[in-house]
Amino acid sequence: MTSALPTDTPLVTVSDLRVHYPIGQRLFGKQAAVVRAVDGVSLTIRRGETLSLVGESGCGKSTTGRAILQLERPTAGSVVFDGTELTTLTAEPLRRMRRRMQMIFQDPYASLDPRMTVGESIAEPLAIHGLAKGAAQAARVDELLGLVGLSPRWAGRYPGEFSGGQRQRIGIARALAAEPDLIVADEAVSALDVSIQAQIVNLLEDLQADLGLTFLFIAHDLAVVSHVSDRVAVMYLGKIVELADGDELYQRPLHPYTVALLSAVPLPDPVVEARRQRIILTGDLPSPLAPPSGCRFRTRCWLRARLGNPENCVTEEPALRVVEENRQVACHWSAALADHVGTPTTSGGTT
Amino acid sequence: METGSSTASVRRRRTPLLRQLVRSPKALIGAIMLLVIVLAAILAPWIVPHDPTAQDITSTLLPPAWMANGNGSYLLGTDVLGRDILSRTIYGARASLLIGAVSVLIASVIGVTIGVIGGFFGGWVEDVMLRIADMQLAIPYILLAILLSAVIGPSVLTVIIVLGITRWVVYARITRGEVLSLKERDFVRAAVGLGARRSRIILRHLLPNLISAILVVATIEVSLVILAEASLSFLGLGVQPPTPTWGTMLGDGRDYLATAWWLSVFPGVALMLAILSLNMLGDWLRDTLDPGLKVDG
Amino acid sequence: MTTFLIRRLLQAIVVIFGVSVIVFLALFATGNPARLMLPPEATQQEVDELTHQLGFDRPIYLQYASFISNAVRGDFGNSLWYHEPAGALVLERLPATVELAFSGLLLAVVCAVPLGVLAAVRRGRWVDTVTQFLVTIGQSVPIFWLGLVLILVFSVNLHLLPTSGRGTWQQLVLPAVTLAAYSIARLTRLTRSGMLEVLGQDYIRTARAKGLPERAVIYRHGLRNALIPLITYLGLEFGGLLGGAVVTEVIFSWPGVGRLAVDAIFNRDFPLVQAVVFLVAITFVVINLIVDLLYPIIDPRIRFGVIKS
Repeated sequence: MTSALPTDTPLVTVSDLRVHYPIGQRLFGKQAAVVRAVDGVSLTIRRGETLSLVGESGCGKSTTGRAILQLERPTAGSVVFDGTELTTLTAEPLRRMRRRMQMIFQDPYASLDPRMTVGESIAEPLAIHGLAKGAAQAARVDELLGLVGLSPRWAGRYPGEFSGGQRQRIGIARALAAEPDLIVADEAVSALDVSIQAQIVNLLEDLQADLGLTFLFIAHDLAVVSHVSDRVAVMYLGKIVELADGDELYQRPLHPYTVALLSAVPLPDPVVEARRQRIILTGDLPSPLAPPSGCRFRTRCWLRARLGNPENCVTEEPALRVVEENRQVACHWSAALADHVGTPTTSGGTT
Repeated sequence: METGSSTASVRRRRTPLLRQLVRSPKALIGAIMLLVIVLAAILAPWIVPHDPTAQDITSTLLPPAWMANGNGSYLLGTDVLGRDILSRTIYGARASLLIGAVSVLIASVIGVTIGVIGGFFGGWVEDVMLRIADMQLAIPYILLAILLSAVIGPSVLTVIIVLGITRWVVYARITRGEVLSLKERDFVRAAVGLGARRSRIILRHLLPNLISAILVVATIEVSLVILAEASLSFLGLGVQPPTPTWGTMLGDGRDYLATAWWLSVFPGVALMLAILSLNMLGDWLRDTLDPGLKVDG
Repeated sequence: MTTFLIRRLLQAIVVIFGVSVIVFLALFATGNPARLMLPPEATQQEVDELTHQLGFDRPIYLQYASFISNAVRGDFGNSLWYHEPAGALVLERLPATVELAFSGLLLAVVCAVPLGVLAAVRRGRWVDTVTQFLVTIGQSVPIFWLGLVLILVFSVNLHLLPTSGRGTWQQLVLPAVTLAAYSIARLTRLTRSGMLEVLGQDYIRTARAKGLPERAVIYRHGLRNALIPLITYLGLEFGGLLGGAVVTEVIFSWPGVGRLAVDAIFNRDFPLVQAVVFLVAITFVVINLIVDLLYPIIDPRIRFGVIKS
């Protein structure tokens, strides 16, 4: 999956990141309700790797991605990018730092300015940071278009003339223009047709191999994620519940939520699929305004039910602990997991 | 390499605006009417049969040419000072259109600037802007215009200034609303993510996407400004004699309503046609460019 | 809910203060107001005397302070023309204007809502096309011209209705119709688009699928919901009518505040003008406040907090 071996110092270190939104109206200091979209996320991203962040809609993964890039200013916590603390940067230094960390957005229809030509959009980072002008700029735009598999002849066209997949390629070209170190792909393929998804994912892989990029890949579809990831972090209701190497996570999940997510991924082998024991989560996602006490997942946790509703799930919030090498889990009972899962739920890392 | 073609659905804007205008009967009629009026205004000095300010005591209050006592050289009749109604009506177009265009220009520049700043920066700036807008809107517009007109003294310039300064609110509100929704669009977030300065975002990303909304508002505003100027002049607080505007002519004609209806009817018709054509165009523009736009007033 | 009420009330108060500032400052638009009150040939000494007499030489914030403290007690000074308290003069005439504006509004609603509903329900057919045509024309007719034409037709030629004064219902007809015309066009269009939007909703389809008679569908489910945004709009429309009343009152010699204001301006009676503008603005603010406070009662969604206002 990766070509460049991750070096030792992480490119990004996120510590106890929190993003809270006050909602409702405040009258003279009366405290409004708070949505805890991201509530204490800590992770590292190593150079050259692809870290995937997965979870259901509303779990805070996109917010985390934006908070890391300071597109939303975090309420608390720290984000260190290549040695620099981002949360305390003022406007101008932050703006200059942005050159090195780019984002690819989910909606290919909305992320390009409809009134700028494709060439102008791609050239924008070059113009903003003064990286190339005139003929050099045009040449770079052509080069980037070629990199993403589009013809340089189309630089003068408007986004409306392209298909979804093509626009996403344009978005990728734009993200690459300033030669960033980190790219955050925020559900970059979720809005595309399945066949196009595969193309874009492959493109991203190739680009990473050729340019030595680091990716934070945010998605809700585990099938897509399994293909590209070095490591995977699973999020639930604003917190990370499990973090592991890609293959390991799929073969031997250690958190009940991960197990349930994986069991929902259809397998290509119909025989194995039919025999599989499916874990279905009951109930609705709790409101981020009032997350359950103790372990947030406890209201839907099948493992807890099978274990006879132990009390510590309610009273004590499980911390994200390193339980084995390269594996972190936030669950009191993950050790008991293996006993309660029936037939293996996945057939391996590659699907 | 992917094949290149416009596989995306062809958007409306691919068809040039002009062609769409020709296809819509409402817009076409409005555009033609407006064109006639604008041409009449521009060519006025050459097409009027008489000097609009020339008085002829021997031909006062003549009815239109097709009626009894009518005079062929005064097609639409004359007023109490013997001035030709047709010529004055044509010249009235000049004043109205001039005042309309300039006032709208002033008001839109002020309003859009304030709206963009308020919408973009949010916070207390936006709050202050909204409060001031509310305050100004609380005073019925005519009263404010009258008050200022009276204090500054009526004249063409006063009317332009007053109308320009008091009508910024609708532009500010609409622009602010659009900016608020544009701010949430991904391409604006993308620009921020790329590291663009705020000035660049406003000028290169926001403004071009605001133009269609501003255009819709401005078109309808021109009609409202023309109406406002006519109201002011009718009350005697706008343009002063001898400059003919439709409003002053209607004001003059009021006293002779029973005896010389043509003093009031023709300028009124002209005024109505001007406003009608602008409204029709404005409505069509809104339907084509930005159907969700809610224009106050 | 109470938070909303309090905020709205505070908002209204802030607006009223803002209005007072605007009204106060307008007088100084050309410098010394005393100069405005004197004929152009007045000597500098006369100007200085009047300036001092009326207190215009005091610092501006002091002047504003006394202006506002008097204004809240209804004291706007004496009218220079009538030599009576300006505030009282305004309050005397205010009911006439409100009567006119209210009649206009009533007439407009009574005409516009059925027309708008009809156009929406029979969308695309000739009723709709004609209505839309009339609406476009209606929004283009200048009020004062319409008034003159109506006088011409109904008073001068047909001798059916009087041209001026107040007292009998016949005298109310022409002014009210003149005033209502623009509103009818506006409200018809709003009702129509509101109804169209509502009728396109899924719950209307459900109502029909349930087998409800069409009339129940339109009125019970459609109109009631379409009226909600319309009612809030009425508050704003009333303000527009107050403005339109100015011109209408002049044309029909209706004894309201609009005509009072116009006359006062010609008489350079600035205390009276200030009084009119200020009190009319307050009326407008109060009416909008009432509409906003009634809104939760009308729209159950707000009452139950489904929509954050």
